[in-house]
Amino acid sequence: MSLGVTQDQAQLEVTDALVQRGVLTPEQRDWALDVHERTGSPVESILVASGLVKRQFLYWLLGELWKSPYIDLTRERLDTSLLTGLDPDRLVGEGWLPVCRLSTDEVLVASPRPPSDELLGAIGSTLGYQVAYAVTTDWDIRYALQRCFRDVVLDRAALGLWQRSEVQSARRILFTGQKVFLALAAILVVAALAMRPVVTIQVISVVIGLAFLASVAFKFTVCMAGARLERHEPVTDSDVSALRDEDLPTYTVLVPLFREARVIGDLIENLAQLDYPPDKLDILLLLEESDTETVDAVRAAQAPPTMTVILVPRGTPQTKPKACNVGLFFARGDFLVIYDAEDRPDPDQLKRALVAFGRGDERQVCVQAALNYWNVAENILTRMFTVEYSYWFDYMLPGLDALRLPIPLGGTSNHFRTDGLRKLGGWDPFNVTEDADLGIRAAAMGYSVGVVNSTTYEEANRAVGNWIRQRSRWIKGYMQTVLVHTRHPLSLARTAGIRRTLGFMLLIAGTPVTFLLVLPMYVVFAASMLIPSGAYARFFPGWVLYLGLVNLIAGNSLMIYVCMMGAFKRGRYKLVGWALLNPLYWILHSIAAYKALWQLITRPHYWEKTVHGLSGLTAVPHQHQPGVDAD
Amino acid sequence: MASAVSPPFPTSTSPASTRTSGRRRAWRHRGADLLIALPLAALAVWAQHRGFSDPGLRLLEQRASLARTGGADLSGLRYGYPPLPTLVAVVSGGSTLSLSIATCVCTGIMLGYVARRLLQRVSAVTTVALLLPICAVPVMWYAGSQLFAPVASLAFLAVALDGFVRFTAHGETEGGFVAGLALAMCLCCDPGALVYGLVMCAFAPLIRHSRYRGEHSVMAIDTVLLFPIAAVAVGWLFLEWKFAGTFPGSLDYEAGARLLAFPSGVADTMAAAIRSAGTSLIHVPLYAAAAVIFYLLRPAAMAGLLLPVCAVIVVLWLGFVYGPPVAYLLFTILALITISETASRRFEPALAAVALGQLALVLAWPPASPYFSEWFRLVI
Repeated sequence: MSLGVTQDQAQLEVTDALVQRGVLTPEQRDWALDVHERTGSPVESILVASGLVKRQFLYWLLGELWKSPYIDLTRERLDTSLLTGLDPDRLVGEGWLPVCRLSTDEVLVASPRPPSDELLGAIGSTLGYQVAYAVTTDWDIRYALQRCFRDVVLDRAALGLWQRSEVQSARRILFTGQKVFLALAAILVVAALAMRPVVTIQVISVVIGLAFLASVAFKFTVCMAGARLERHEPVTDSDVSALRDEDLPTYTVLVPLFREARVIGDLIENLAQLDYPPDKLDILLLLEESDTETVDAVRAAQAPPTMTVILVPRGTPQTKPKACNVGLFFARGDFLVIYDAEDRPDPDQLKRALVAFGRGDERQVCVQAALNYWNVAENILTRMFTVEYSYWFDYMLPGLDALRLPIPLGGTSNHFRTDGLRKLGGWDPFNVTEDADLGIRAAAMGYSVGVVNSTTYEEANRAVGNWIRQRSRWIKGYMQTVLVHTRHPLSLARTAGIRRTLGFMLLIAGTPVTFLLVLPMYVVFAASMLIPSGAYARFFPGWVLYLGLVNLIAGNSLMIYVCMMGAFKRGRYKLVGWALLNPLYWILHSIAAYKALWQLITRPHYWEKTVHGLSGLTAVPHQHQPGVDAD
Repeated sequence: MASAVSPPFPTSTSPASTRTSGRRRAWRHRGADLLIALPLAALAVWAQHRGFSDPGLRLLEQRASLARTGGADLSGLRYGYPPLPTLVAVVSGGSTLSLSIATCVCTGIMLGYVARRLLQRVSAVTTVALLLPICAVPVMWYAGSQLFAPVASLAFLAVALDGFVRFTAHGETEGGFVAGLALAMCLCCDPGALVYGLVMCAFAPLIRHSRYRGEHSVMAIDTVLLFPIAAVAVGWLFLEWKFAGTFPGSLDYEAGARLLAFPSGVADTMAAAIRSAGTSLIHVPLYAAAAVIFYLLRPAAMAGLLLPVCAVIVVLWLGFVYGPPVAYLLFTILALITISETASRRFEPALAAVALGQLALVLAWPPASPYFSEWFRLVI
């Protein structure tokens, strides 16, 4: 292509060439040009994303038009010595790669971009060689960069945050100051128990009672704040339909996959439902190098051209956040979202997130969509899980948002400004709830996180063992997050403010603490039913007992009630009564909390894998209709 | 490489500024509530000076004293019902004057709430006219400064009914939260709240919003409304059983209460309850005005106005203490809330006329009780 040719002429040239070669019909050409006119996307992206033209053929043809050779980087031997001193971020961003030396002063460079003088000049001055140009596909560039910068990518993904700021990373669980503090606290309690056992037990009871009360009061207040927002729909259907395709930015979708071979088909189908111009979608399937089963399943499924497989290099820790960091390295979208393998996002979720970003301020780095479950009616556990999620995502998170408190992100469907996410340092691969940690880190660094009224439906855990594994990981992650962000509590309070720091402590520290206390409290309650009240009056005088009773009746009832209301708001009417079983459900939480505590000590960075694809239900609506119970 | 991009969409009002103005508004409201309470508080002090204190307040004073002496084993809980007034009595030192002042504060909050709602619908002049049947009537001065538990329960009931309407008729889930919790608080002041809860449940299917579809929605609405009140009831009975050994010990909560006694037989007691409720209703033409407005604007929701009447009849029939001043206050407050929910400017002259008519009626024929007469003699 000559340099004087305008963009539109170039698009016409490509499509005409395709028609002449019988690859496209004239109607298909007109359609592609029409989409290009409407969205502003390059016609190459439109043709590849629509599946009308194979990527390799298209770029081969572009090579012909640009009078440059085509090169297949999967078959070329790359001269890695040429990469020394090059910034991999720049290569990813600009989309070119030096391939080999052609002579002492000339280097072959591959790129999918048109060979403009400006581009070739910039590459030449960077490399210090004359540049011979070859065309390749964008896919080839990513593939080659993965191979060439394997160690760099791995190092950044695993240790990037740690290298940038040790205190923000969970790689080291306890810093010296924290160890000293915990040891002193333990010594103090033991000494007090030895010297003044009755008073110590009373003090401990009061502290526990107040902690429970504060935690419940906080959650209830936040829920009420969230409930008040019901009348206000932040992003409406008309907001979404007002969006024009040409204004939409490129959106990267990260899908970390590990041992998910059985759900690959569903995943491809679910992502195909997204209402977003395919040529502006950059879907990265992040597969672990060692997970050959999933890699084979993805290959066999013949993923559409909008999806790119990124192999996550083998190495410790082998966690989802590490995979996400690898994805972040290759992401080319202005915005980015994470979905899990079994997710079914509302089709217009990306657009809703964009509207929400547009309404937030510049410091808003992330918006979180609601999560809920599609296999509600499978058994008691899936029902209870759905009740809990409805309360959490439909009341707690909007409430935290309304009160401008830190929001612990929820696993998937977190939409980011890619640039902002990079400034935050990406995910902490050593934190097993990297999402919650990221939400808090954002608050600690002066950024904000919002919510968006769109839902992603997931598969609820239906097996108790699987549930406890998943929950123990979450609780362990909360514990890690607390330990990470309390290393410099004064600094946190200075940056995030007292109110947000207190909110963080009540939510992130309060959650594992209350779960840990559930079982002991139940035991104490059961014992109190068997012993006459006068017998324990020495340890629990009237005022201590009153506090406990308020927690027992008001605390439990309020938490059950907010769960009921969450189910009601979702239109899951049949689940409202199930919320009464919450006190039993909390026993499972408590068991998971003890497992989490044990693992925090013995295997702090171990990632308890949740198995997906266990549900026996298959035919599910894409979107839950309020009032239509699933069972 | 990705760059920082802000999608070109309009921004909304800054949440921070909204929060700040919200806080300021809340402070202004609390100040106005206290201003309303001030004249009533002056009356309360004067009544105390003249040697009057309502038997209800004296009973609370005794119960607070007994509850305090229960000791570490919490056996004093047997005297603890109704827990909220008893708690206020314990915290405020247990004197009838402090309880009387607390009554005035409750009345101020309730009237302030009603006035603010009315001001959103009708002009200030009409609002004043509509409030006259409460503010310019001696029997309401008495109720608003002496009947702590009934006024407190009525305040919660007003909030509950407002939430109930928003929940069922307007489809706002938050209204259900408010209704359920306010009913629970109401039960902490008056066991009659149980009846209100049940009657609300009975009426919910009649006025439920079209948003609540599905065969289980009615059951879910009832659960939302009743769970908090059931939790308070079961919780309190458990506490009494565990710590006081009485089950259920709350039924003698107030002097004169004779629950489930049906003194004239079941049918005749019902007839008497209907007569009594009817008499109270005659005192409140505003209630009829609210019904007319409903008939004209939202006939489907008219059934909702029967709810309080049915509830009062059942409450009286079951033997709860429910004097004429309390019934008058209940119906008037509910009428005003209904008006604030539906009325438009075109009804203002008629509503003001009805309000003035009700004022004249009540001044001429007050919904009196023996204690009111004594209070009137000593204080006014």
